[in-house]
Amino acid sequence: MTSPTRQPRIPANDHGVIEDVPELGEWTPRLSVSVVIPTSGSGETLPLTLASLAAQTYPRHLLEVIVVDDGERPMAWLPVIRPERTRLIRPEAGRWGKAYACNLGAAAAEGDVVHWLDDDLVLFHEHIEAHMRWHHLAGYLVVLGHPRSVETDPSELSASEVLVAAEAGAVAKLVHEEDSTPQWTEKRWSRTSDLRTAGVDAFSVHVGATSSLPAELLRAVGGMDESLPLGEDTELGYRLAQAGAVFVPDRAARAWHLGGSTVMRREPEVKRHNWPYLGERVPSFRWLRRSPGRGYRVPYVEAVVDARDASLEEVRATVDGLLASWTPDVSVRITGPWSRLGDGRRAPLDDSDLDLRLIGAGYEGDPRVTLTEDLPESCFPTPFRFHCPAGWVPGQAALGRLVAFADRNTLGVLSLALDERDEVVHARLERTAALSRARLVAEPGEDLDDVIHEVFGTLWDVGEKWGIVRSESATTVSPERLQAELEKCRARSLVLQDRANRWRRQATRGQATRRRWRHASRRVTRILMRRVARPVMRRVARPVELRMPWAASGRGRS
Amino acid sequence: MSATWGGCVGFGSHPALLGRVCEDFDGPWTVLDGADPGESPPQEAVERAVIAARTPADLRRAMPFGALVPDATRVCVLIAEAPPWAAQPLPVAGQSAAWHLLADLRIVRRRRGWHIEAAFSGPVPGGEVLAHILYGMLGGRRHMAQPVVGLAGEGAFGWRPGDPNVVLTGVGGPVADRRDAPGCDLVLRVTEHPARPWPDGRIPVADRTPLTSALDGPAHPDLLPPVDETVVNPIGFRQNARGPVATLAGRAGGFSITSGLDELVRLPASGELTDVDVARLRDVVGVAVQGVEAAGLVRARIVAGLAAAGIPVIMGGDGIGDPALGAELSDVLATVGEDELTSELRREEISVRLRRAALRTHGAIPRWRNIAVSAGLSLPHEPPVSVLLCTRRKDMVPFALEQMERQRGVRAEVILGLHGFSAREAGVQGAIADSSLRITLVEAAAGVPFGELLNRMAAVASGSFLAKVDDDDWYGPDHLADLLLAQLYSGAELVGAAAEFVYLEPINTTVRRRLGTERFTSLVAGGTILVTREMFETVGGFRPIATTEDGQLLESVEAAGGRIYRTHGLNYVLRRRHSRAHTWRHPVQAFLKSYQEQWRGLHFNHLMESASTPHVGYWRQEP
Repeated sequence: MTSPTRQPRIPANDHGVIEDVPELGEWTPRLSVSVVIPTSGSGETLPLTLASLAAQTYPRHLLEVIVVDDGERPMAWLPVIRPERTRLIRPEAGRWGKAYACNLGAAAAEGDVVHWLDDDLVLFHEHIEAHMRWHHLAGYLVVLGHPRSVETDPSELSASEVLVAAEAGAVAKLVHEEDSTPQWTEKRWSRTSDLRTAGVDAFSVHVGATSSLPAELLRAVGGMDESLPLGEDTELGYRLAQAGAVFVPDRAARAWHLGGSTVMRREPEVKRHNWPYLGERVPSFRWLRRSPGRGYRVPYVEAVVDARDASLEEVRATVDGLLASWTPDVSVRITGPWSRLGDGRRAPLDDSDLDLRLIGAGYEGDPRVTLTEDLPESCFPTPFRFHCPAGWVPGQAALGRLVAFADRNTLGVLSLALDERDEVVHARLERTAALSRARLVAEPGEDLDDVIHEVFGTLWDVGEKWGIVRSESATTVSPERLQAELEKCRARSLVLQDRANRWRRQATRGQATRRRWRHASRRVTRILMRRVARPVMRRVARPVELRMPWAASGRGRS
Repeated sequence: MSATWGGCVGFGSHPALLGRVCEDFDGPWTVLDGADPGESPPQEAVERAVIAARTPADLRRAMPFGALVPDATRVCVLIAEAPPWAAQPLPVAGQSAAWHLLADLRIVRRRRGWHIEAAFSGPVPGGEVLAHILYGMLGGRRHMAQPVVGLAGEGAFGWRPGDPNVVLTGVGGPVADRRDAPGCDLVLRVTEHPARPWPDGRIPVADRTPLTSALDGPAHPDLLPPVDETVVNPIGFRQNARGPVATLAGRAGGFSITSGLDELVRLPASGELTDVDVARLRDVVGVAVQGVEAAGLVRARIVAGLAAAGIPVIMGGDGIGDPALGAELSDVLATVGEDELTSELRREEISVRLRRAALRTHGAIPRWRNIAVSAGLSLPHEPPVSVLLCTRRKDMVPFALEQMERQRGVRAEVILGLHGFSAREAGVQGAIADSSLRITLVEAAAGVPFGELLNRMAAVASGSFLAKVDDDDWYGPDHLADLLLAQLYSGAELVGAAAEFVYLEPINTTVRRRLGTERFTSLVAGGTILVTREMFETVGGFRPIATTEDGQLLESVEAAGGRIYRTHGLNYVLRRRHSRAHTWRHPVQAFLKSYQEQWRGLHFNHLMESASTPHVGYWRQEP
């Protein structure tokens, strides 16, 4: 896979910390790549794709191509112009679908890196090299190519034409660039400086038209979900993110997408089709899980409660508190020595494992609760795990607020101190993606939390601030209470509104009064002017008049 | 006997203010700012003497010139504006005969200032009343008793702030003798023509040219009038200043510091900064001093004043190298940039470095020590500090001694209290022998209460100050020096730092709490107490109890009328150990409830000069 030297530690999705990304054509490749092209076999574009692959700058001995023929009728032969090591495989009868084809191709792949490629792409001659330079730098990158759609009719191009252009490094000139349109993801790239600041949401732009990833990583996440007829790339992206992957778009990995994509042509229909599937499988898409009180295939948070050395009352308070959370897609795992509970004859009330037995009995029927002996290392693909000590109850809003806070600050682990005895009793929210990545990059013997702090972030806080309290003081709000509170608030707001209206009226009335007084005062001034001031002025002014040189003499004071 | 004499000081840049402050006297005013010390003091007593000052800082500068205030039956002191941290101007009477004649005293708050009117049954020296009012207002009777200074020349105003024990004389001398002693030890003469001879051969003379005139020789800090640390100091420093960067610019007849279109502060042509000006600048992130036309040493004086107040100063390349600033201050100024000021912690670090450099170079006490030493006078030593270090864990002895060994800038001795073990035990003996410190050992049985042991340790201590330190906390190398500096400018009897930084050992996390520093308060961290010997003996030492003995000391100091000052917390990291190793009143949650910033592992700020555990990134509380 990658060199045995230390893996770079990328915080969140900020791949900018990787130094010395080599310039194209100025480095020596080492890893082999298998390009997997699922095709329906009917299009005229596959020969063009293969022709563009035949003239890549990436060394031939490190490049193999696997064409998976997923068409209704088997392809007779492979086009003549193609890379040396090109294989054609055919799914067994009755199986179909792009996800299945991809998995089949990946299973046959011998390369260190698997590169998904659509059959309607014409690659620039450095495309594969641009992808592969990243895989030499870190072993957990998913590299995204940079296709642009063009409306060119594929029949206008011939495979030999493409080959000549690719060999000359002139694929750009095959079509008119100004006629091309960017992929929908490009806006997101630009907004997040090529996903560097995209944080935990980077996976949502994972498009399988041209993306590559380490084969090992693909195996670790279990390949593509074959139950998905469409949107399988988004779902794979989600699981890759949970496995710790970083998504790197490379604008140098250019390609022409002939004829535009389905997503862009029939967007509303595609969304309507995909959303039920993705809502079940991708808990991070919160807008697909708006309706309360129902379950989903992949929960959002897996809560873990340890029943060892805890009483029935404590465990029940904690588990019930978790299940009552306003975040509905929570599953609970109660760990304890369940196998110890035999079925042998016993005195029911004097059982030494009575509490454990009662806890088990109390959650027998709830599908959201699982009893486990040992805790699996990871809750993949569930995105969060929340450890809560028995006897402590998170409030109904707590989980939702915690997760939102962890997302806002891209935290990997959020620890909440609850109490201090010999050790600090604490609850702990873990992000699966952070733990997975930390495991990928940790050196042997290193403290995993230290590594998590480097790749995401760790933080300590107090549980009290987030509404995690002792079971004795825990309260849950029933819908009736809420309803009653709401009514009360509504009534209060009406009263206040009334009061505000009254004040507004008074204020306007005050204005009117002021206006009236102003008018009155003007009127009074006018009257005063007319009745008092002018006669007075006339009387006062008379002597002045008399002193005028041109005034007739003889009149006046004398 | 004429009716009223009026003297004003500090209104040069705010002429309109004088009329507003004093409504019942129209003048003529004697302007004390420009008074010539050679003027003969008034012989005739007056009915009423009015002394109007814009700020307490101006009043302190006028104090040496108290002899120019005539005797009066009624003395009125007006302060136009006082900073929020200053105490009320209650006179602290000394042995002066004047107060025996007191008939009536009124102290009235006038907007942001004070109006003090004292009536006597006969004429009393106005200067003395003024001095006693200032003692009360700025705490303690601190002034620099040594050397006794004579001032000559019109520009000598501002060279000896707050010292009533000076001799005023003309440029040509002579100095009148005191009883059986020369009038002073040293004369500072400010004239344009330094060549004028000095008649009295017994008294050395230091010549200075006025600030605004061009220099003959090379500049150096001693040519600047000192910064009065009692009033221009970091008290009131705001850690979370949100304002913009203000700019220093010239204006007609002086300078102004502006932020956008607002004029925050107006400075006179001499560049004198006052406590009220500093208080107005507390909200700005920093002051940019770039491309200001200033004559002679004025710019250096303004920069020194701002730096001493802990206000970050951003200077252009040419100004930083000004030799009048002093090498230490220039070095710190070179590290200040606008980018650093965006982080609150970085800004405070810069502020602490600036104030240290400025107060140590330009403060009145170091300035006069330098002048006296250059004139060939010998002065008493700086007061020594005794460190009380008490431990009940012998494995902590080497660590604790190492923390004290790195202290610099102070003369310190260590009194090491061994609680429940002996110095002959392995590890302890070696650590003591390896240390270069002056160590005095005090041993006590484990049953002796902690407070009692500390009192025994204090009894063998010889320093003028006692500093209590803890055995497991981290101290920056300037911890003791900064405490002494804070004691100097605050005048408090007990100073301490804030336990802002806490390393929570059980969860391997360092947090910074927001506690409010650089202010008078009743709480400081127990491991950072520095108390004057005098106050320690006044309250009778620590209470002989096993825990909370330091909290009790704080209470008794307050009860005895002492003042407690809390300085910045950047030199101290409190170690919160496992609860099983120590009895703690506060659980870990209490420290996490109100933190401002958080780091994983043990984190030190730059002033601690220690290596943090290498973890990238820190976390700030969401606003």
